[in-house]
Amino acid sequence: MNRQAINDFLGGGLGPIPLGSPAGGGLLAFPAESFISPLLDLTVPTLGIELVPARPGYFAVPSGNAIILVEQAAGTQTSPPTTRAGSDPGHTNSIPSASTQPTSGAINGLIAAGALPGFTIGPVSTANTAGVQQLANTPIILDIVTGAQGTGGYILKAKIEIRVFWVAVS
Amino acid sequence: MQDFLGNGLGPTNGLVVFPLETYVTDPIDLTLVTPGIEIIPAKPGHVPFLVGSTWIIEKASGTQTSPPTVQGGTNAAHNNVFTSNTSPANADVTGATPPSISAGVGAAIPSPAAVTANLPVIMDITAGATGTGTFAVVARLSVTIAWFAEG
Repeated sequence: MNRQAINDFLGGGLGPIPLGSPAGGGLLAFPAESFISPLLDLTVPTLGIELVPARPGYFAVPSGNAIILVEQAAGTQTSPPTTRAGSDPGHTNSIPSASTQPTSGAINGLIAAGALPGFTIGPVSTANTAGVQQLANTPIILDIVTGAQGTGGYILKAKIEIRVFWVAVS
Repeated sequence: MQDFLGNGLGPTNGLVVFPLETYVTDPIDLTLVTPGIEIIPAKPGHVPFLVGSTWIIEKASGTQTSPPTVQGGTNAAHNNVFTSNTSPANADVTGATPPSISAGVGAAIPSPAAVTANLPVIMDITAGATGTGTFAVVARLSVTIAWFAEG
């Protein structure tokens, strides 16, 4: 069984292709993947939530904005949570530290409409972290730096989803 | 067993990962009003989120003067995955050399809209495309989604 056949059997893709390989250009080793956090209380500062696991030899590039599935919400949100995420020590190379989603308008709209569980836009876009170094072999860690605040029996529990594609490093 | 059944892990206290999935419809005559087209099957315990979509034009002739109106969702009104919109665009149909592509039904979040697990996504063509000069348009819709475990 050759390398191609073994990788096909294992479902693991081809892995990094050496530069100069005539068959290397354009090969896609892994499909894009969607990672979803456990249900999070976004009113509570929480550091160190592993959002995307490490993949040896690869770094993960977020694709577009994250999506938030709001499972429980009540009251009125007056201030959104502040989140960040990344594979770097500061946890900011995937979601920059200034991210303040879900917005109060989005959450209060879902509550007012009784549209729960419901989707809303989350933090992250590739443009937000352009030019920032990415690190292979390292998980993406999510931090809720400051919790969301609100009034009137306010609660907010949600899952955060991030889509990534994998880039092999040589 | 869940892996074997292809249903995923369901709610857990850890990471949940699924590959993004792409579903493609059979060829659809976009000139006809057609409700009730299942475009994404139900996945037990999960709700789909639309990441992107593309029309694949399979047949086109004449001049399209008005695109079809489509909507889709898991709710009774079929509008909580993508709201009513018009696509594919006239410019992408008229003069197309099939197979060709056109922007799909949009990936914006219908807001605010509740979502429900265990239900398929149903698309309705609420108004057919119209045109002139032996106009015809047949296309498939490709939708890419991420799955959320609910609960």
